[in-house]
Amino acid sequence: MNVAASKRPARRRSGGRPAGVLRDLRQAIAPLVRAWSPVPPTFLGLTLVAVALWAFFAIGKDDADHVVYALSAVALAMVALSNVVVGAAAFFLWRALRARPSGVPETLMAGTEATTYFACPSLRFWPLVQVAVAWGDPDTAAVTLEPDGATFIERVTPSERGRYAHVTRRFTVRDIFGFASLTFSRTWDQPLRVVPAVGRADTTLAVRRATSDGYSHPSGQPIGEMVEMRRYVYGDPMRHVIWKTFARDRQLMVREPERAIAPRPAMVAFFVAGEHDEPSASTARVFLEQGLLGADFVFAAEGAPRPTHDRGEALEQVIRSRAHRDTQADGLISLFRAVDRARLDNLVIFVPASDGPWIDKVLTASRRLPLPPMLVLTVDGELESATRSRAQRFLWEHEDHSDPTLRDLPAVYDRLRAANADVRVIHRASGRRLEATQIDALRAL
Amino acid sequence: MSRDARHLGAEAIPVQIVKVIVYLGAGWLILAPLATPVGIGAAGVAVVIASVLAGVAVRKRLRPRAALTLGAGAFAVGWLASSLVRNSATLAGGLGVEGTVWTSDALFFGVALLGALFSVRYLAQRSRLVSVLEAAIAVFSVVYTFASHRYCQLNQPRDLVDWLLEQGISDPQPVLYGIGTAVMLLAIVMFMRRQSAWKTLFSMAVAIGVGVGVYFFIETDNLCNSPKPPPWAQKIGDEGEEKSAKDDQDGDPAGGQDKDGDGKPDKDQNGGGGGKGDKDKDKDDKGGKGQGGGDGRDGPQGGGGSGDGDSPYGKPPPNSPQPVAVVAFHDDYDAKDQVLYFRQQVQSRFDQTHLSVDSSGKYDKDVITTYPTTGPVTAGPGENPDLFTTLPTSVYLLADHPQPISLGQAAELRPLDNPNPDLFVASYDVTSYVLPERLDRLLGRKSVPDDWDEATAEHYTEIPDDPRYRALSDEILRDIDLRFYDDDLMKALLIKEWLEKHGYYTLKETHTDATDPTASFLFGTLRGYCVHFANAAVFLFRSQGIAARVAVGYGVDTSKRAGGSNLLILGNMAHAWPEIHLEGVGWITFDVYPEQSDEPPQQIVDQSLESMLGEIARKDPTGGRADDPDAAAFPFGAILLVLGLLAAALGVALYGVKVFRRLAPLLTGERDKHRWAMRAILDTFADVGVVRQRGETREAFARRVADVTPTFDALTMAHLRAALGHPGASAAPGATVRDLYRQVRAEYRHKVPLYRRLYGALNPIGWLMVR
Repeated sequence: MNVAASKRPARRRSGGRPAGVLRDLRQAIAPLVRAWSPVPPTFLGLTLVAVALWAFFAIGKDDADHVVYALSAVALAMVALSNVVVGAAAFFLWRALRARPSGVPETLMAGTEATTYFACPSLRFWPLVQVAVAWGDPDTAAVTLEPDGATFIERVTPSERGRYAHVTRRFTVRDIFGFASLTFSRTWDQPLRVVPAVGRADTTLAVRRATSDGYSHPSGQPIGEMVEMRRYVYGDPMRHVIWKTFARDRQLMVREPERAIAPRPAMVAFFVAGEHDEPSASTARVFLEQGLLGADFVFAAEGAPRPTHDRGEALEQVIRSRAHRDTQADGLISLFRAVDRARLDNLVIFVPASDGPWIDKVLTASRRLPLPPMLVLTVDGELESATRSRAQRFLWEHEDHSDPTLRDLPAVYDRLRAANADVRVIHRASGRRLEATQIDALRAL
Repeated sequence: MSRDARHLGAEAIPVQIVKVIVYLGAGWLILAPLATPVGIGAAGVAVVIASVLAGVAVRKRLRPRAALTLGAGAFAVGWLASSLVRNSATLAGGLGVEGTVWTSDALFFGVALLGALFSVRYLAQRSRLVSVLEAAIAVFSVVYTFASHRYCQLNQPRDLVDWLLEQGISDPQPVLYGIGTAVMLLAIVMFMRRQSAWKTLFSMAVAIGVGVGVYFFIETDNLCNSPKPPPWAQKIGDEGEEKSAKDDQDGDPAGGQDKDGDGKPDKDQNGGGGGKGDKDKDKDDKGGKGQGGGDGRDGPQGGGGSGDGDSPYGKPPPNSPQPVAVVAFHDDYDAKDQVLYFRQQVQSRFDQTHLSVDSSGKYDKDVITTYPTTGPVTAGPGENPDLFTTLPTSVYLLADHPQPISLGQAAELRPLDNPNPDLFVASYDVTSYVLPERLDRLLGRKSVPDDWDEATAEHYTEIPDDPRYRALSDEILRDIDLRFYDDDLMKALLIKEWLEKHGYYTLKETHTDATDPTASFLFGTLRGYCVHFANAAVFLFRSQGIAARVAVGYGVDTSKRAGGSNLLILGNMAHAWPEIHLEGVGWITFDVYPEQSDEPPQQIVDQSLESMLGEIARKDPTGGRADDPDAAAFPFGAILLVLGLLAAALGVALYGVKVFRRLAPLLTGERDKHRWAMRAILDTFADVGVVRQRGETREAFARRVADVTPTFDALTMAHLRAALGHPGASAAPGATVRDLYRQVRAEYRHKVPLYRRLYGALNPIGWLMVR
């Protein structure tokens, strides 16, 4: 199967993070690479041409080395042919794309692969030529191409939420040897909305646990008589287990406050945008769509002009908050001013699991509240990384070992716990709520 | 292969196989002259194992640091173990000499090399840069192996050239071009990115086409840069020989004598007799520089060679003279002075300051200056046949010469069929006079015979109008034994002895700025080269009334020859030497051997090249390389036939399986019909390139091709029901598998264009792609 994949160079490499020097070097030459991208010869091609020319004249002709003469001539011919073919193929592709629609659905979901209807010519009858497609806007989408006859099937996986006025694709036509590469862009004026990803189904469970199933006060004190019962879930206090029921039919049930009496919390929620906030946005979406904030909730996201009571608008605020990552919890004070102070007892703040200025701002703002807010951190990546032995970590790479949220979690968690904040950590991939012992295990990463 | 592996850069299996082959080839080229067979075998095994392990490591996502550590560890263990085995007296005693060497090689090349290769192969799959390094290693190994042929040393590398000669291929240039082309194509494969099999094959076909095109484009290129095509590379017809002969007949046999009488050679002509060159930087040319008393700088090769001062092979390498002729001896002959003189022309006419070739036709009639094109060419009277012995030889010229060269004094030249026009520019038989007597046996003879007329005597005794010549020769002869007071040969011997004792042979002193270079040499530092010594000797001889002239040609030192009946003359053997005339004897070689010199001794001729060229000249098509000249050549035809039969058998087998699978639904019973019908339809789609992707369910595939055959979904479900449920389950309501199969085929024929169906019908491997 021929899959031409275009990926983000640093963040999306599953093979691991580039070394620091390499990363810095890439960043340093990135402008040069972009400026050079419309020109077919690659660095490898130019280098080969230089070496081949030198070998052709200095060794092949001057020293009468027939082998070097022939191989350098072949090298020069191949580089020349590659550049010609790539240039012609790029021109053909550019003309073929002029009238083609973008084929992108109006809404995509972050972290979820979607097939577009974009028909990109595969140039299968062009020798030496490969076509790669990357998205320039949104620039965080990973694209895979699968040949299907004369065209490619495009599958796109946006990694971050956002709203975009147009879609820009970068088409790279290159030869299979790496001697020539030409990149051009094409923009379609089409709005695109990338919604946050939804976690797994049992995320709901974790969220329900994080919020005490919506029946109890987040601070943990049950209100009302314990007359209702439900199935036991991990983390329920043993004293709430109804042992008689268990003895009768082997079902573990726990008591919970009477629905009629337990005040259904009408939460106030705020979404802090920041680096690596995509898992947190997923959790915020789950809260909103599952109604876990209550019916009369107030929600605001970073950068939103005013709080909202509407779920759709709230989700839209989360989507648009991606553009306000630099402000980092500045909108929290605006929310405090806009909401009745009494309602701030039920404040939930969705925070990114990465270090940043938002920590100090949130902690400072929390001190002004009568009750500490619940901070919901959401992390991503595989937890098994923490259970690997030292030898395993030395020998084998791990799929998500580079996930920044897992890596940064212990430090962020420590800072928040040191300020006596009420921190709940949710693991998006598994939907589990992470306990302190599991977070400690992550310190080995 | 998983998507992760692709993202990590793991190479496709075919590319890995190509790289293993390239590594094996490169390893063999590099190690063959260095290691034992055990070491080479261990290295080959290490290449295969390292490549497999590296591929597994990449797929299993071994960390680079771990790969490097493991590779370095294996290298260190192998190296240390190998050193231990080699240096341990105990182990050496137990294993024996051969066992020690083998064990050491096996450990080093089997373990240490395994570690190094594992690291390189792993990194090459992770980094394109290292992949380029791999390609560079492959290219370097080949270039290094074949580098010995540089500077047109086309008898190297021996293994290749010997084998080619055994196959009757005397010109290795096209083969070397082909090797370079193939190596680059292989190296380029190592650059290749992952892609579909179709694009890989298509692109490689194009790349091979480019390689073939380049090959044919450069095949006729003459890297040897000769004004005339080098004998190795291109055929030289009669045109060249005719031109040479014409030049001679035009009365300019020297091809470059000073016609303007200014004492210096014309720039566009030879300053000396025989060569054409004008590049004084070429050491090959120095043997005969400044011939004829010219300024020396424009002097050509002393007597041989052709082509504007370049080697006849064009660009000679430093200290690497080029072959110019092969001489085959028909009788045994040992030179008295261990130097064989091959004369091309003589310079006897005095032109104010120097000697030049006489173009009047009155003198030097004993010297043959024309090639025997239509019949024998006989020398004029000169030598007394009774005192000389005749020696028949055959001369095969590898480079153009204006005049023929011949051993000693040539009596007759006869045409000879050119045994290899690709190689030799001319060939002829020579009957030479060689003097068997020692010079002292010829004492008592006059130099200028009485029967010479005054003009002839004047011609051979004229010297510059400079009294110092006579004064110096008188000074040299002041202490002559009175018994030989009037003996010209004794006088000449004393003068020769004086020059040998006081002269200093060097190529660094050219005397080019002097009006009379010979006087500058003789009355100056006495430092110069053969041209200076020859002219000085001749003028000193003439000052004493001894008839003398300068001969130009090649002087071949035989003292270091290994023997054999063939003699190879190189360009740097060009030489000039004096000849004196003795009454009743004729002209005899009278060379001067300076006792002091700063020049290295003459280079030893490559015996293999000498032997090879000689055998080719003797019409042995293998150049003497074949142990049995009648042995059959390499069985290319048989191998091609076997390969063709194998390919045909493979094709028949592939098509046979294809046909069987296609007919099976019609031949099998109802119980298995669903399975064979499904296979046949999947084969049909695979033939045109539509196959089920990894992870794609049968149902999903059926939906994907529903545009082509909507009924295929029903057939798929029928197959699944039968395969996963009961074999006798009904195919579909109101339809049998046979009906569905026929319906699918009908839909396929209706939807798929004819050309694609034809392509599918011809595709023998489509069924191999079915999942």
